[in-house]
Amino acid sequence: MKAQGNPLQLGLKTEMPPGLQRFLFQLRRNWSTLVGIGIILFFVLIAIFAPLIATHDPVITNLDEQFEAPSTRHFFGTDEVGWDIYSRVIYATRVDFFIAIASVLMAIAIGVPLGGLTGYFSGRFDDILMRILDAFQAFPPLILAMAVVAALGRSIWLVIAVIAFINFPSYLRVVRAEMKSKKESFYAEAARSVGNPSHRLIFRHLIPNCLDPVLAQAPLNAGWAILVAASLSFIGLGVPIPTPEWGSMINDGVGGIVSGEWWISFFPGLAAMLAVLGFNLLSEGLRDIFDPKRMES
Amino acid sequence: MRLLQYVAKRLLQLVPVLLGVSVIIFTISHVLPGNPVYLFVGIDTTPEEIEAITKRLGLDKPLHEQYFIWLGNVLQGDLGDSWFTSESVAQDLIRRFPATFEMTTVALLVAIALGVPLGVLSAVYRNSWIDNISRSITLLGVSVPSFWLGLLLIYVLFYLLRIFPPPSGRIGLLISPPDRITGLYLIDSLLTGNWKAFSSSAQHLALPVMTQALITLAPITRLMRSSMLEVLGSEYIQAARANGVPDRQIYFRDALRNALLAPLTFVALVYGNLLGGSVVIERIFSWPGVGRYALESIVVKDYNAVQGFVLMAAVLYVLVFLIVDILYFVIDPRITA
Repeated sequence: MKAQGNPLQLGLKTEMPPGLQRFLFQLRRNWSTLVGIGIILFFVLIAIFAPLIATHDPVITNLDEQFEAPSTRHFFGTDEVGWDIYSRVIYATRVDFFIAIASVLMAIAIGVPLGGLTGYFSGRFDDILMRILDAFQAFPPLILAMAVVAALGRSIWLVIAVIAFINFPSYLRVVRAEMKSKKESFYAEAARSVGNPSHRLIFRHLIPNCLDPVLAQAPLNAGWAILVAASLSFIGLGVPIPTPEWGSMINDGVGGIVSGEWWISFFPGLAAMLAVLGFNLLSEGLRDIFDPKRMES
Repeated sequence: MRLLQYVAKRLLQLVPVLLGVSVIIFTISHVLPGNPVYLFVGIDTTPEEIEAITKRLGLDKPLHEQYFIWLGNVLQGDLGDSWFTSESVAQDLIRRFPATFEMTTVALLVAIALGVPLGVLSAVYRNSWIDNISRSITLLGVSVPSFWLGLLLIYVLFYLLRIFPPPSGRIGLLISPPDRITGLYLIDSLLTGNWKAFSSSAQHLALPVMTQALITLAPITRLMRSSMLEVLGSEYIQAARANGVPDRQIYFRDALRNALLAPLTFVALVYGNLLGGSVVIERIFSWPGVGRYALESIVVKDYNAVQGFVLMAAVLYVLVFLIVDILYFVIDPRITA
């Protein structure tokens, strides 16, 4: 996708670096990214302003108002213990987004440097590391997460660590692959020949150039993290109650589904789906931007 | 001969992976905190008794010795006993596996049967309304929590419309299951000519299968579409076009065959997701499979059972990958042993 005309005609500020210009230009023609960013921003705002938007305290039970259908008093109804679903869905945004973002950052913090090092040095260390990763990837991901959380107990931090642990090999692999091609490049050769030590070469010059696929991968993993956190909490292994979390809230409504109280599970599930959708749209758009060939096909 | 060589090579490659798997499972259950001895003791147990139990469970031996004892047992098919069902974990898993296998396999077949044509249509009529619909379905399918979708289907198709039976297991409460031959109700009831059982179990399968198939459909369609697009853009297809080969023949004879290769590997991954998903899906449909067994075992802290389930899932996952690789080898002559 070649930009026609000079930057001024395209309405872009000329003093911006060309990479950013190209990025912003493509962002404008890429509605899926924009919608994705819009959805994510929407949730981030909800998370920040939760106390202002919520109408009830998310963890105070009210046994006088059990199983109430959605109304003007309880927008999304109430559940078995009289919790206001609307307020809980709002507060849960904080928990689920925190898990999503923290687990992705943690996975990147482990996967990127390790992938850079193993891709640069290759050799025996690389062989052993890849065999270890193979063994971990022999588990269906959700089952590995379940096994670890079942052994160690329930907490938000554990959920984050487990999800990060499952995701970091994907960052490691993409950075490792990029590194293998980049370390042979002319600019790497140039940086080496003027006397840069290898740690400086790897961390200052090479890794920053291996990050495009990492950026495209990150939102995908964030969405997946929400699904896994919700699944774990749904089966009682994730975030402990009464902390509002979408998956455990869906679980609260399982009984109600066959007796007509649909709202208990419906609204938290809808929120989770929208949030994951936002991350998936963003990821799809970013992949198109970083790999223009893909958009043309 | 070439095939035998390849299979032998792949089997050899499995050995380190499976050893790694066993170390990981052993680590999760033995090295991480949470002393299993405390499962067997009450508040009034004396330190001597605790010591005796520790000895009986072999937990006083050095870790590497414990590992080799455990590995030896596992290799003989002994996964220990479940203290909850007080039967051997291997027996428990074998008894419950057909329920999970039936549900996940039917779901996978349905997903392939719908996802492949949808992906092909999407690629052939790129950017048309059918492509847009299929891409929307795909995007929603990868974003929706499976258990939530299952609950929605139960609410609409059972509670509101009464089209399907309640989520109460594999077969109607008043209908006795077919005589066990394979453990798969659909096949057993067909083999024994038990039509009542067949129709009831098919109806009970419908909702969980629909849930898992809709989720699985999404990635299959997406991959099929991009694979087909790639093949359609390739030079030999363009050459065929230039030579005046009719479109229909290009799409279904030349392109489809090659485009099917990429999604094939993916089926293995998808099967792993189906297995993992069975834990949550079996919960909402009261499905008596291995996923529900694992969940119940977690709740009562039955470590042997959880460990057995995780091991089974990993081995199955690896085997599915192996089968797919072998199929690949058979189909694509370019791969050499």
